[in-house]
Amino acid sequence: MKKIISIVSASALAVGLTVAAAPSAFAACAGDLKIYFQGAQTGPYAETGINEANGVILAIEKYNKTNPKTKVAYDVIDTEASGSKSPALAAKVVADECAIGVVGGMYSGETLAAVPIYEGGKVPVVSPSATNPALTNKSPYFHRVVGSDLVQGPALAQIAIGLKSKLFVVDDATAYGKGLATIVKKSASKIIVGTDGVTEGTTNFTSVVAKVAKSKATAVFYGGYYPEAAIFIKALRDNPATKKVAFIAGDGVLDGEYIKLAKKNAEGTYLTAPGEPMDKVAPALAKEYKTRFGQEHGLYTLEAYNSAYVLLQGIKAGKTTRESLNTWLGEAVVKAVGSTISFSATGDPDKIVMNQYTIKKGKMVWVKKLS
Amino acid sequence: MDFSILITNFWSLGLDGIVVGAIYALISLGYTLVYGVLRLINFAHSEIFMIGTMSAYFVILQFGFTGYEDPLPLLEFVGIFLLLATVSAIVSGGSAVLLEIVAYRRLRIMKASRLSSLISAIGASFVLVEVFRVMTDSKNLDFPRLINKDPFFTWGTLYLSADKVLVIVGAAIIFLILNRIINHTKLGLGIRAVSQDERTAILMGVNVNRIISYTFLLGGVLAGVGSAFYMVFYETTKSNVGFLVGISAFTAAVLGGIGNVKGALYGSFALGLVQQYTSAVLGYNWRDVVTFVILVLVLLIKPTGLFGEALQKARV
Repeated sequence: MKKIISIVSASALAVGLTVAAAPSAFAACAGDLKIYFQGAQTGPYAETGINEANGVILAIEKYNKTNPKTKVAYDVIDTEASGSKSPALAAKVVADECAIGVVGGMYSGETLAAVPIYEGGKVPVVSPSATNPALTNKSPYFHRVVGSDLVQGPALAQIAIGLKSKLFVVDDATAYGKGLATIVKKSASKIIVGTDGVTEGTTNFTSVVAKVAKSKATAVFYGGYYPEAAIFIKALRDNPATKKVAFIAGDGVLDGEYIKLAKKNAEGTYLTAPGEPMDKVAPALAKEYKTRFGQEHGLYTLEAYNSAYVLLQGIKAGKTTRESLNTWLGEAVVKAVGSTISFSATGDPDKIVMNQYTIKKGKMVWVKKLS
Repeated sequence: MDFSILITNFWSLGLDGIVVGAIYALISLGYTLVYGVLRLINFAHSEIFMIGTMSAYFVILQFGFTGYEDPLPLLEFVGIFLLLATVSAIVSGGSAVLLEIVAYRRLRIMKASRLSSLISAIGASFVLVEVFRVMTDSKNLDFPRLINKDPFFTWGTLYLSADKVLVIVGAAIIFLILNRIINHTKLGLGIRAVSQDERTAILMGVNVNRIISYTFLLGGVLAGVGSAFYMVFYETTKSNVGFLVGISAFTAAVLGGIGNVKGALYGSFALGLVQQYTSAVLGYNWRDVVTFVILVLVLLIKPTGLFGEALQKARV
């Protein structure tokens, strides 16, 4: 009797261990496939993140309406756009068997930190707005629908050169800010009269403004995000010596929150973004967005929508596992809203656009397309 | 590295350094007073300052400013500013007293080790930052422009504007009042007595618990007034604003000699000036490096600070 029990329990243990060690394909998704959004839902950059997340939600809802049998669910990880918070949250996504793809990260720092985790879990990633050049060729699982700062940097430098200005460059030591500032410095090296660096969370710009005034710069480029940019532009406009300098910045500053924080001082800021003006290229979708969420769309809402749209088209084509979806992404050519999306072997989009924006009368205004 | 800026902008950087130093001074006094009576570094004091900025923000929210209006006329501004300073002072002072009761009193009664009190201080700091982070959605809060900041006096690169004058003059008035309290009132006498020798103070009939509460209250009130100046000058706040400002204020207190009121004042102005000049020469991102290097050097070479007492004499 004892011998039989020990044999039965030993074999039960052996079967249990084999099942546990079996590949995770055995542990199938119990419900709908999920697309995650990675970005800020709280924190100083939440406004951009919420507008992107809403774009993803809209894409999924529209898809589910026409594909009720193969519904896709939406979920989100709130990284506050921080590279220190994103890896742990990315691991959470990888562990979720139903997670089939990620739209995100929102910013370069958090994306750079999270991509290795997603690669380990073989999760395809499509970022709507991370622009750091280091993400090019970072991983076979990483793709993005926007061009990198290798395009945005020279575009910003061209604006400064076009203004026939003496340029002062300031960066905020983040992956995005410093990366972009370095490229601008290289592209506009002939007109640079001074540089400085700040950190995220800086409120006291008096010494930076003093340096700008002393260098007699007529334009200032800020590589960084809108919370600090708003304080910086206020400090520049408060000092009579720097009251009239042109303020040039990249897509990290182009947000409704910048206008809200800087108020009158935001007028006339020169801004670029590798995102299309949604009101111009997809006005019907912009209206749909406003009806659904009760607010105006944000800068990268269209890109977030399209990133989710691409993933959904792959799911529609029957690619319901992470690897098959990723392989499909590498070859797909998708007619999304306002543009056709396909990815090169490095993960960057085949078609890269760059647009110039400004702030007029307290609103984000598209100026022109930059080549 | 641009040393020439020290020459061209000496006075303007100096003025900015004095303004920053004045705000640091109001906060560092809280650190130094509490250390004087308790030999405890109240790490949560930076959050007392943050709470002051939050209450100033809350008050101004009630006025419904959009931020696009013109700055207020002088009399109206003074009235609103006094309201801000009073509310912030009360809220910060109250928070400081509450902090002492919750985080430190029982440990003191139980005669717990100083390490426990230090851990409690750090824990309290985390709790306060996180509570306000959740309450503000981790966002930057902005403050409307209340005072006209156009310079009314210019001398070369030096621009004197109303907000800078406000901070310097206001802080000077506060310091004079504090000096009266410390040196010419019974409360001040009690604080000085407990700082010198707690046991003898008890024998002399000083109610030590009450003095300690009043010391926290005083430190909190000073931080509250400092936060009102901060909000008018910088026009922004967020839940972790206390961290860097607090570290600088703490460094200033250590630089001047922690436990010493005069030291806190001089240390704060000295640190403010050093920060401005080094960030102009080396670049702003070196400012915090310089602050911490000073802190480490002071602790290594002269831990008692510029004006501090000899550490052997300190009650353990």
